[in-house]
Amino acid sequence: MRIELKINGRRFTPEVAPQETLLTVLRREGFYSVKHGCDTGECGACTVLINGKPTTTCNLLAMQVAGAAVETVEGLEESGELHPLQERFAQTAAVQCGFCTPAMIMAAKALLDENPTPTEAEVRRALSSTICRCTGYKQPVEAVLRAAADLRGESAGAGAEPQPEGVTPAEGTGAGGGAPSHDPAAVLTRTPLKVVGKSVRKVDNNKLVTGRPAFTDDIEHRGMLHARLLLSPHAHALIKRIDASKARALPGVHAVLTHQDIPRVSFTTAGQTWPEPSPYDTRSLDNKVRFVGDRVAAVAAETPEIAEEALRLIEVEYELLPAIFDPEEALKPGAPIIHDEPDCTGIGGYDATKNIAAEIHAQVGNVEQGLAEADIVIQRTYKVPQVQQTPIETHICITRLDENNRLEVRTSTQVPFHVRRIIAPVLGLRPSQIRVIKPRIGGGFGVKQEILIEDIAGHLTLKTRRPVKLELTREEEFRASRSRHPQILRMRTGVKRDGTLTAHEMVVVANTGGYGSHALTVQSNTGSKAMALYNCPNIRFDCKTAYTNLPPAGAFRGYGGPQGFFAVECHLDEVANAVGMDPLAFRLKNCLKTGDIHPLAAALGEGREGFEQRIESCGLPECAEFGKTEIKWDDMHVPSGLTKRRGLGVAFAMHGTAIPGVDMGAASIKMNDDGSFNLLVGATDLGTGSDTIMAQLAAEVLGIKPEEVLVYSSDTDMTPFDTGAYASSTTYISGGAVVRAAEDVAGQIQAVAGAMLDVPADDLELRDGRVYANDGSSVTLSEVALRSLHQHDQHQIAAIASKMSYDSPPPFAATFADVEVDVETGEVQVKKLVMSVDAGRIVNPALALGQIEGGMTQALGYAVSEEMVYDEKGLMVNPNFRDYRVFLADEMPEIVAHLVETADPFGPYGVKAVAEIPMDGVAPAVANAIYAATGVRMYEIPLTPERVWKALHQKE
Amino acid sequence: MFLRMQAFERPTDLAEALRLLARPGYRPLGGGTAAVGPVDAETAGLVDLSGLGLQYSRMEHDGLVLGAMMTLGDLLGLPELLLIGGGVLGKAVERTGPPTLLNRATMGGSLVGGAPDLATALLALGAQVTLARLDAAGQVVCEMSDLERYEAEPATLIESVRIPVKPVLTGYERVARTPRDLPAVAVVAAMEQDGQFVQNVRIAAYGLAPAPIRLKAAEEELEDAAPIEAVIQRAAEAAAAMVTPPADLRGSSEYRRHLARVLTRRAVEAAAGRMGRM
Repeated sequence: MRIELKINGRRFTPEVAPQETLLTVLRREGFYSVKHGCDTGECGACTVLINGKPTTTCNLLAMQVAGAAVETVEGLEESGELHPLQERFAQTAAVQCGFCTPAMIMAAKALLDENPTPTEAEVRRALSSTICRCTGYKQPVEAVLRAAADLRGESAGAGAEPQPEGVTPAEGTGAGGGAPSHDPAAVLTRTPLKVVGKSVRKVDNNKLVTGRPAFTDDIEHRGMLHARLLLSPHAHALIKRIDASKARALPGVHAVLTHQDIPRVSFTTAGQTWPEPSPYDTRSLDNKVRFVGDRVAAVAAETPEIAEEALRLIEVEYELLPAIFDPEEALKPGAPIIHDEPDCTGIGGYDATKNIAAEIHAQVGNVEQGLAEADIVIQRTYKVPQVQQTPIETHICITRLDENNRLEVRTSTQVPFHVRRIIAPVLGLRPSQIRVIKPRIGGGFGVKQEILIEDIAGHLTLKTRRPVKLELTREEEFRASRSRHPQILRMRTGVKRDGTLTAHEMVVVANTGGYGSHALTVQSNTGSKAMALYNCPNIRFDCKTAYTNLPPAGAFRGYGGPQGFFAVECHLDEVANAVGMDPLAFRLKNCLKTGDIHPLAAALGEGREGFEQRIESCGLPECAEFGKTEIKWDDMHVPSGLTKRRGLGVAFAMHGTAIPGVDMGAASIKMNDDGSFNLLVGATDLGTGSDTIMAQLAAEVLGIKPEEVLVYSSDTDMTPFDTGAYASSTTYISGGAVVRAAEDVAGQIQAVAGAMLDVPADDLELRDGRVYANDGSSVTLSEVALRSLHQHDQHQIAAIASKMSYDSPPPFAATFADVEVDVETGEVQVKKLVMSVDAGRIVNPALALGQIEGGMTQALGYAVSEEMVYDEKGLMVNPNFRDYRVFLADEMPEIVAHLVETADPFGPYGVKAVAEIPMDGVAPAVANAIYAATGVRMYEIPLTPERVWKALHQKE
Repeated sequence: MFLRMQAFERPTDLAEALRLLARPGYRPLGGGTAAVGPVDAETAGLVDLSGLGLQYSRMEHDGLVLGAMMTLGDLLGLPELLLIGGGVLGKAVERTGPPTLLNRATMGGSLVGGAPDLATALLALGAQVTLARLDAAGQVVCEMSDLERYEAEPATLIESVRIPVKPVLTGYERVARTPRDLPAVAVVAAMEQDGQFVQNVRIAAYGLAPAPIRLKAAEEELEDAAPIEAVIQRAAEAAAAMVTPPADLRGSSEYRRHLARVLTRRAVEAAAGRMGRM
């Protein structure tokens, strides 16, 4: 039926089917800013204005609004000028991945249309219709308030780009200057930096605030088929019989694949460096299912509805096997064996006959002796839940055969190069027969460091020779993607009365679910991060990671750290209490300091041998000082109310910067006629702003503005190799490669310019887009480029460089929480969170603060509300955003993010990592604040009202 | 995602809508916020109710009448809302969802699930629902608590909701994992003041039974009593004693019974705290 819609003021008369949603129709008409994130209206990414009112469109039929006026973000630009809302979002890290940005902007526009002078609370209410998993909402709220002022004509110097507050140089670290050097002395002497250290506008923000087609789904291929997966309804079962003949006979179905139709090839879904330290325990499709949500079959059909209908026609006869969900039960003799098939292999203590996906033992000193020397020994058990990354863009990929019959895989991934290498043998192809293209990504947080759908889409394209789109629904994302490993952590710590640690032990049982992706490495991080932050002569870390029939865990921002730090930071709070010390003073006494040796780095690598690490920079004292003042730590003993009690808590954290000896990134730069540069990187910006960071680093070396650097990322045919966006490595590793390539290019520019100016190349300086000699004479970069390309000794000024590092300089953080506990109901209200982070030199403060604010917000969910919950048969009961609770804009406590700048000798300009450490400290800080408020220790998260009430109740 | 939906109808009178709904596989469509997203292999036709003129609100002598198709967003904008129970209805609507949801979700749809705070508040305020049925069956006016009985009947539509407007004191308490989460338990207490006594006490709760219920044992303790501490405590105990709450991810049965006690006490205290001298 044909309906009429007025979209952004223009009349459209699309032909729509009765069941089609407005989201589908708008995207078909080319309004790609309207995003699919959940199907239930809960994530809000599909928000548009209908007759002026913000409305979700994934749960709205087009027929319902026939005749209506629809506004999308595409309609906001006027004659090439951004709307003030778009401009204000674009100026800061209000945009991270950008997937939900158009929705937020439209919700804000509706508010400002009605109310030109909104309060912050009103802005937060308006933005509460959109889940943003990246930003922590702080910068979007500020952007809306600034835009409101612009629209009222009140902004002083409207359009001036705001520079964020919140960066403090650590004293004595020379953070006022810096150099792209590995010589510590050079860090201290360089002239002031021009681009590094500035909150420059993100290079990709304009396309994101205008909603241009940038993401995987924003492309059309003629004849594209829609794929759907049949997921297992059982936690553990053999497929006795599977018959797809009825499904294949359904008109519009082009392929149905079961385990009978494709070769059996074992691989790991973990996107890691070869040889992957995760067991090869997965097949594209198998004759056994190991969790509710495991893949049983796949369909490609002409419409999503036909594909869905076909799934219902596949007949499957299961033989149910006993299922096991508790990791400790799974490790007992006689437990059902989850991987009893012969074609599984693994390393790192892997023993499938005992349900062990990985086993780790590391010790320095002698823990038993240390415990004997202690005045007090505290022993406690902690439990942490399974939680999910939930990027708002679910897993999606589009595969097709190109004109050379090569398989093109356009996919939302953090690891394009690993995708190509890992799916090649699974599909029976050589890596060179596959091209992986990573477009803009709508968030990842680790769950896209996993190859979950590319193999299936590839099989379907090879079978049908047609383009195939496979996109997980939100429910499938919850049931069948990946998650953070739940763990049980047993702590035993010995301490002298003066607060000196004599022994520190952690024994972990982790649950990896049905498959062991990242089972070894996540858990080794639990030890190597959380158990290494405090100096102690005797440290032991033991861990077993068990297979069970829960949905699998995998990589999730923090990668073992949040689990470990919850246990360690709660435990040491109790230890400090036992020796009568202030928990903050106790931490400062025992934590690592500049010059210390990382106690576990050599003993615990990531599936390989580790490398000894010396701590070259540690800003923890400054971080603690900032947080202490900001949270009013010394007021913590003020009396609080009878039923509502206030308390303050603290936690420290340490993370890593890339995996030493493993992670590698490469970059290539070439010069263009006009003095601009193409920068090609394999690094994958998943919303963090790394494309901008790369542009800034290149611009700093080349003496140009970041907008003169055209960043392209990433494409296995075009860009150099990079291990991918994970392990907090991009600025340090990929950025290091960019700096090296830029230095090489700068040298080539100097050679050409030297000949032009007739001076020695070494005496030339690149700044402000020109090359200057000592006498002040200069040439422009464009003149250099034109000469080298067209006139004299013609050659392409270009370079490629790589970086790998055996050093992994740790960032540090101090987190403080101010909490109110209702002791009658157990309800916990976090009033304020402060996080101060030493992430080395900061390349872009707004982006770094955005990383911290967003990480804190995810970590707050981990602390108080997020948890995957299952029934007794292993079925997740909360696979939606109504029941799986992620914080919304108007639920947030006050959050304060802060950076302490140190300069580390290893990274380019002294950078360290920032992305993951914000995940580590919030849960223990909140738990410690609950103790301060009530005198009750919490040993399990999330700190839901009932859990806290039970703990308070037991005390009585 | 509707797999088998063939027809989309937008009737302009109620009788026609009811006749369409009598067809097999035909379902009514309010805002669609809950119906449209999930995979649905049953629905053959949708009857969009937006053409029936049920978007109205009108003040009658003793009540505010809201048409079933009025959106919750429009409801929030009604100035009359403040006249009802000290604004408790508005607070409950705000808890129901973000603006995007409120702009589509309808009054009628909210009564059949998905808006527990609102349904609880309406129950406490003594709202009545008018149902339209096919010719022979005729119109029915029922209490909120009787709504379930008619839900299974084919070709029955919620036409309007009437909320009594009278001076009523209210208290509204809830416990949830985050401020905007569905509550583990929510309690709304409403009562009228008669000197130092209270009467027509209605206490409704969500999370203590599969659907919102009245805590009648607690109401009885308070009815015609002075809401002093000991009485309120007895009412709270009575509330806890009368329920056998279901368990789910938001709370165990034991915890919810505990919350029934605490939140009933707090809601009644809040209502009683608003008593003025007469």
